[in-house]
Amino acid sequence: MNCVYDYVLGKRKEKGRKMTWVDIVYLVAMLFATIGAIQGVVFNSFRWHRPDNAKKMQWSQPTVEFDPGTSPSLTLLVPARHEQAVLANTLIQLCKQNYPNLVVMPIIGHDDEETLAAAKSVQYLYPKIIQIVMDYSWPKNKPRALNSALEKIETDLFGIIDAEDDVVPGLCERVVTEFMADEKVDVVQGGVHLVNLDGPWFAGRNAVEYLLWYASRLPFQAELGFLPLGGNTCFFRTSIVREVGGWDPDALAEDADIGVRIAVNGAKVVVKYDGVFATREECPESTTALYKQRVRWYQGFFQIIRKRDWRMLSLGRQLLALVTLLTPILQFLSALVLPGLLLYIGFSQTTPVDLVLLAFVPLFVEMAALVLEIDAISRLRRLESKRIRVKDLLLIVLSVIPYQLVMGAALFGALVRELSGNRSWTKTVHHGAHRIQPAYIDLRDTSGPVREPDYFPAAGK
Amino acid sequence: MIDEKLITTNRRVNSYTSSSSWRRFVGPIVIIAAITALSVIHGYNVFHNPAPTDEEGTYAAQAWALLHLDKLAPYTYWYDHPPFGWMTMALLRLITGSLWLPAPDYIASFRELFVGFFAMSAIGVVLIGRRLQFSWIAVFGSLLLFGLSPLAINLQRLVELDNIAVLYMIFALYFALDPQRHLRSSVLSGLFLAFSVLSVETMLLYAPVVIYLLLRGWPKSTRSVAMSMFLVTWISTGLLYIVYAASKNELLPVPPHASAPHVSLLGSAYWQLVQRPPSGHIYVTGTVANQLLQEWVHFDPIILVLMVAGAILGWFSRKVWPFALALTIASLMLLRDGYLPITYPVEVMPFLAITGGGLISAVLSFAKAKHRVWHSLFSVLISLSMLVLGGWWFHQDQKLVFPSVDQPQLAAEHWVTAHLNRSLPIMVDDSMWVDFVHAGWQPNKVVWFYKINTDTQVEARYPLGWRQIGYVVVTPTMRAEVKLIPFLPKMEAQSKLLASFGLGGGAVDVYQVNGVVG
Repeated sequence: MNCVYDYVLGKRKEKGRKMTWVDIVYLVAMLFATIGAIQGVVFNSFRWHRPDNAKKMQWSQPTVEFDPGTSPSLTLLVPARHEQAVLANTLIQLCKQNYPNLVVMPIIGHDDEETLAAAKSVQYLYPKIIQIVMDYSWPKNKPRALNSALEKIETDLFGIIDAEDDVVPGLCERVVTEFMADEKVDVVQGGVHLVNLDGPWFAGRNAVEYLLWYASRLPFQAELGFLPLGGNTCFFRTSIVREVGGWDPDALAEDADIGVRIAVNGAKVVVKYDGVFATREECPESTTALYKQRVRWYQGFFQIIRKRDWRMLSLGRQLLALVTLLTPILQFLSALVLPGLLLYIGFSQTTPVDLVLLAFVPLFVEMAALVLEIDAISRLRRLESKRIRVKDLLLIVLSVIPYQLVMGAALFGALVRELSGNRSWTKTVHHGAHRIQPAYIDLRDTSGPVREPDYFPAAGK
Repeated sequence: MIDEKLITTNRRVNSYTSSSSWRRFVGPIVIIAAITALSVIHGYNVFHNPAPTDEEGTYAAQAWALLHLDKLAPYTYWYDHPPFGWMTMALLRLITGSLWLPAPDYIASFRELFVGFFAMSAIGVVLIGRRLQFSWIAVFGSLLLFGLSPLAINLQRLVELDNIAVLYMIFALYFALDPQRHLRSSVLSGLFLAFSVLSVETMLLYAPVVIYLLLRGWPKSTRSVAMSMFLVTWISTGLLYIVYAASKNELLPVPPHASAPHVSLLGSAYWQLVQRPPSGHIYVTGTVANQLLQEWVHFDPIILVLMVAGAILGWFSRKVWPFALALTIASLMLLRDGYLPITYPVEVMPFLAITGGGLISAVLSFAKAKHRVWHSLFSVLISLSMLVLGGWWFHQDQKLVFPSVDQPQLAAEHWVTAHLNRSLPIMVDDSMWVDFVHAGWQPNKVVWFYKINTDTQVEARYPLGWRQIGYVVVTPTMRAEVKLIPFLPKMEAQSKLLASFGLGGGAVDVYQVNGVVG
């Protein structure tokens, strides 16, 4: 530390070498990387900060019998674009949610005949529940679809479910219970869980990322007063969304954007997560799909920063919002830690020892993050009632750098797109890889036993 | 088996319901008074008893080197100990600046700091006791065991790294006992354990205690995360030491007779663990270990007996199992034929204190469960025995740790600084090193006797060895370490005795080496 100390005081010893600009640039970059990494570990471990944290995040048990006469009614919006492969299955699952006052509202583009056909076939089975909304906006994207449905919602509460989601039975009752327990609650965010752990090389890491995000980071941020909402399994009081004027039709991360505007409005957000009631999703099917998804998210984040709505938050929450929205950059810096360290030490043989020691600190914080991820993957396996495998362990460790590379590439992709003014939507394609049942359902066979959705469809039973 | 429930209820609720309002304050007030009294006893005449030792001088000189030379040691740092202990000393010195009381020599100026370390350790022991739900009587017992024995006072006053390591260990134990079981506490526990081990490497022996406490305390749901964060913090902080050595290219030892020999961490570790001459079996008369034991017994035989007793009895109360484990490890290490440092009992002191307090607490709650009468009877018995033991220890303190014993050394230092030529090299034991540098000698002209034939840099400066030295101050330490400087008797015979202070084995003699013009 003497080196830094001497430099600051302008007091230089004859021995050893002076600090150079390379040292200073490196130290400043590492300072940010360390802060980024530390906040990552602190936020991502919130679920385990105290023994009762996880318990607090559990859904409360429904306390009343729900009957059609008195219980609040709930609309589930299912924006679907070219989702004919998975939509029918999803809608049937939603209709089978054991909740009396339920409206399921698939939102279909006016030019999307095949998806409309899939929705109509389910409407034939559940005419009282399904209300198809046609979306005539152009160009098509998720926020516009949601806006066109917002006008049609007649219930006090509504939620967003993606077309490829597996929603666990009993979720609606629990959501409504949360809203009934506290009048002041405006938004309830549920958990999302990536289930195809045995998918592409990044599947495990992606699933861990989701787990730490929904089970740890979001609850912590909810406690601190600002969080970007998730894209699905998110439930609102209709009034609050109408108050803030619905979704920004041009937003690429419409979920995070409405999260900011709702926080500015002073809304109370509750985040609930437990392994059982998390919505099941698939991770992107290929590296390219992952890249495109991240480009969209990151660009969405930059858009939000530029929109400056977040500046209306209180100072502490502004900082929190900034840290959240700059996550891509912080992540990129942490990706630079190891190669940066090796280069720095390798190329300057005369690096003072103090600086070398300092340079290792961010690497150690990264180790803590990795250890947390290893713990998380073993928890995910345990949710499947399995033990962690060597393959999981190897993949989670070996995928660190390739994954960071994809994230770094996505960061640059997003920056290039944002700076060149290209704000169009590139959507993730879903094939229902997380479902063991084929996407095609024989609709004539309605007499058979009701299929209970598998909790762990990817387990390959 | 006196088996208590490991209670995790809110302590405050318990004390509100079980005591009337004024009685709630008696315990804390007595404890605060006891800590104050113990600190005063530790501080009383701390500058002049015990006499400054060579090891204290070494660590003080190393802290001095950090502050004034920007180096880890005035000589080549050879990885004898990890440096965090004297880094702490230097940092605190930097913050506190000059001290409150004028100290007679440089070592004494650090002793003041160490009284502070003791006070903080004592507070830590009390807090650990309270976290383990000890009654106030038991906490008082812990304090007594921790800091009143003449042996404890003698060793805890020394400017030894062990006292710093113990303070960090107490922090690590305190955080490992967090009743909230917060993740943050496990991280802090790992950090302080690393600090402790980086101060004195032998504290690694007691790492299982911290791990055991964490494993026992944290519930299953958060245990794996807490443990992994603890381990990452502990190991990576410790790794900084390895990184330090590696970045100076001093991690791996060079083969003997290499063209450019240098010190190395692994080489020193190998020396410490394997090559260092063992102190012999403690129960064989004539061995170094046995001499040490006699010295400890001279100060206080009781506390040594209590340590062994605690190692056995501690296993009867589940609450103090981890601490009994430490005592057991320490006792077993005593029995083997290995290197034994003089400060060995210091490291064991906090574990003994907590085990003792835990046993008192266990006996009292066992009696309470039987009948109120038993409880009162045992309370009185325990209080009486603590009073007797405390009284006897205080009586011994007055004889053993209160009077000044550093007169010969102080007088020799004064005489040397008043009379001798600053341009001639002077060979000393490390307890005087910084004082002579402060008196006007160049740092490379004050030679620590131990380095004259162990440090290549010093050997290069004085290729003819002791014959090139101007003056030699021969202290009892040097006479005891004559194996390291075999030339001592010859030198004493051929040199001119300038002055002598003190009598017999405790004498300090100043010689002028013949052949060097003064």
